Amino acid sequence: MKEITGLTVFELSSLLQRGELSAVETAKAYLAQIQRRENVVGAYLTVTEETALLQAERVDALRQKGEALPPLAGVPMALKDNLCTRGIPTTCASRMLEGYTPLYDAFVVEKLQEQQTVLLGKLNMDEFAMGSSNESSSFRVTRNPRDPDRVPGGSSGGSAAAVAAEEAAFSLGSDTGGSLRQPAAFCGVVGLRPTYGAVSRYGMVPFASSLDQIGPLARDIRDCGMVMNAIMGQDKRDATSLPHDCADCNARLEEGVKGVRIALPKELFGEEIVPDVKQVVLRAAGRLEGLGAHVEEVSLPSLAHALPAYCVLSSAEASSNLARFDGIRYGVRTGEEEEDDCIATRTAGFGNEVKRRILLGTLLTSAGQHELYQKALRVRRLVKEDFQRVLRDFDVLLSPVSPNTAHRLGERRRNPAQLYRGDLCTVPASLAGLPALSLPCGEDGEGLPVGLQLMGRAFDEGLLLRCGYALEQSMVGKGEKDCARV
Amino acid sequence: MKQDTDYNNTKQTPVDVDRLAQLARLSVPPTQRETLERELEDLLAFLSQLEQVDTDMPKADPPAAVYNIFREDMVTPSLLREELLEGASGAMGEFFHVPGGTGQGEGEKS
Repeated sequence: MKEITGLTVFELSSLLQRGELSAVETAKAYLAQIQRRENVVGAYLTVTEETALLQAERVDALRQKGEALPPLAGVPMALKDNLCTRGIPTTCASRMLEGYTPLYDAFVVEKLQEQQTVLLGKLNMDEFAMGSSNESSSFRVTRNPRDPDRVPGGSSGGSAAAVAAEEAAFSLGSDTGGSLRQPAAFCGVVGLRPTYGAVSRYGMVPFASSLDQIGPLARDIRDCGMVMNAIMGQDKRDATSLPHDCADCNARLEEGVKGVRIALPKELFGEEIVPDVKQVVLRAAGRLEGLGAHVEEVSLPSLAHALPAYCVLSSAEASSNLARFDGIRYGVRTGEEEEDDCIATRTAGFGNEVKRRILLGTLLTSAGQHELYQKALRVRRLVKEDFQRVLRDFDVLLSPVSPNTAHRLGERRRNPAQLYRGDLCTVPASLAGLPALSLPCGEDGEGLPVGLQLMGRAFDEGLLLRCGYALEQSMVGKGEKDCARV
Repeated sequence: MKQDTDYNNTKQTPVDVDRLAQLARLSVPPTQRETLERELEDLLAFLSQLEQVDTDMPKADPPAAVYNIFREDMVTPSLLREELLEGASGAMGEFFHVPGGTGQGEGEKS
């Protein structure tokens, strides 16, 4: 039998439901794994051992009483540290929120509590979710479990690393321009950015509100769908969450891809994509074709401008959102009770990357620059229209997740423009508000996982998972399925 | 991979970092000013490529359907004052303690 931490959520859930494994035993196995791996991986900012064991005991007690429990009851998981957890520190990996303990739970935390999952802790991230390597965290370095000399990606780097290192059965991350999909790709796990509005962001510390979404990271496609089923839903506390039927995302998982029309946007297979990545992704597309899908190259001309439009909009929104950190209502205050306390607090509390984005956003929303912001909004509309046009004739769009695989720690820290360009393939779905799935589809020449992205119609997460599952199953036994394992 | 010099032909707009910092309520030490200026000018040049895009349309729109979200106009439970003040950066009695904002000597100091 596999080690407990090597089991998928689906496998764990079955064993727990049949009483062949206790929730406490499971939690202890994960806590021991965290103890073993954290000195190398560094995925966690807070480990909630006591909470985890209490929650696990409660699940076992209920199960012993014969109560029917939800599918995720007793499954150990961890949360990105920008999701508010009552009584548990939530720092966004920033000095600004060091020691801050929220008074309420985020909507998704409530949802996971309803499922009676077991919380192992809070995960490292780029400060305020601004970054794509986890190197802008104010507190610690997170390493890629596949190669500890490399970054795990970001900003949900801790969320991806914890799942890849089997330090959590699943995790939640957030995705603004690819912050969940890219680390999933770098660490060789599955990540789903839901449709804009499918999951309430209540209790998530915002970065760019017209783009932010919360989503699951898991070892495989089925697990990812199970977690998505648990967290979606409308919530009156987030006015951008939309009514939808919350249908089971995994309902048609095993129906295959015969007849599914898959588009390959040529703008996302350009010279920016390194040859290894392009080759592995195209090979996976060929595999889907072999399984009966219709695969065809298409053009979405607006995607050539998606990245600068994203940079303008996300920076402008960030500068506005982060104005709330003033050292008054919560968080750290620096200074000597002088009128410039706020400036001292913000200057000491924010790291360099966050400051750069706030300044850029301030520049873009100041007098004389508003035309660029207007232009970015219009390009966003063009992107959305291009997707609408293609999705009339096709069911899914397929591309790489990132132009490259995980780079070495420190390699690009001094070159922000190059780091921003890593978001090339992920920002289009963010701008259009569409769901996008990131899954491992093979390895590059250095043995690093390559991520494949599937984008679809709004609220069509089920079809993305179905296509992903077909691809995942086609790799079983060919040595490539293992890229979802450490 | 595209090089950073790709957009060197686009116009360079001078960036006043001190002015931006003032607007953003940040302070930039002199040692970082030059680097930030260069980075922001580079980024602005990159973003300025948007000016060349033909966007002949009446207006932009958001990523999802837009309609009003109403709720009942009723008082609902909220967080407790004592709990909120415990998490405050500074508190005095039952109030948030706010740094003076009207200039030296104009407000009463605690």
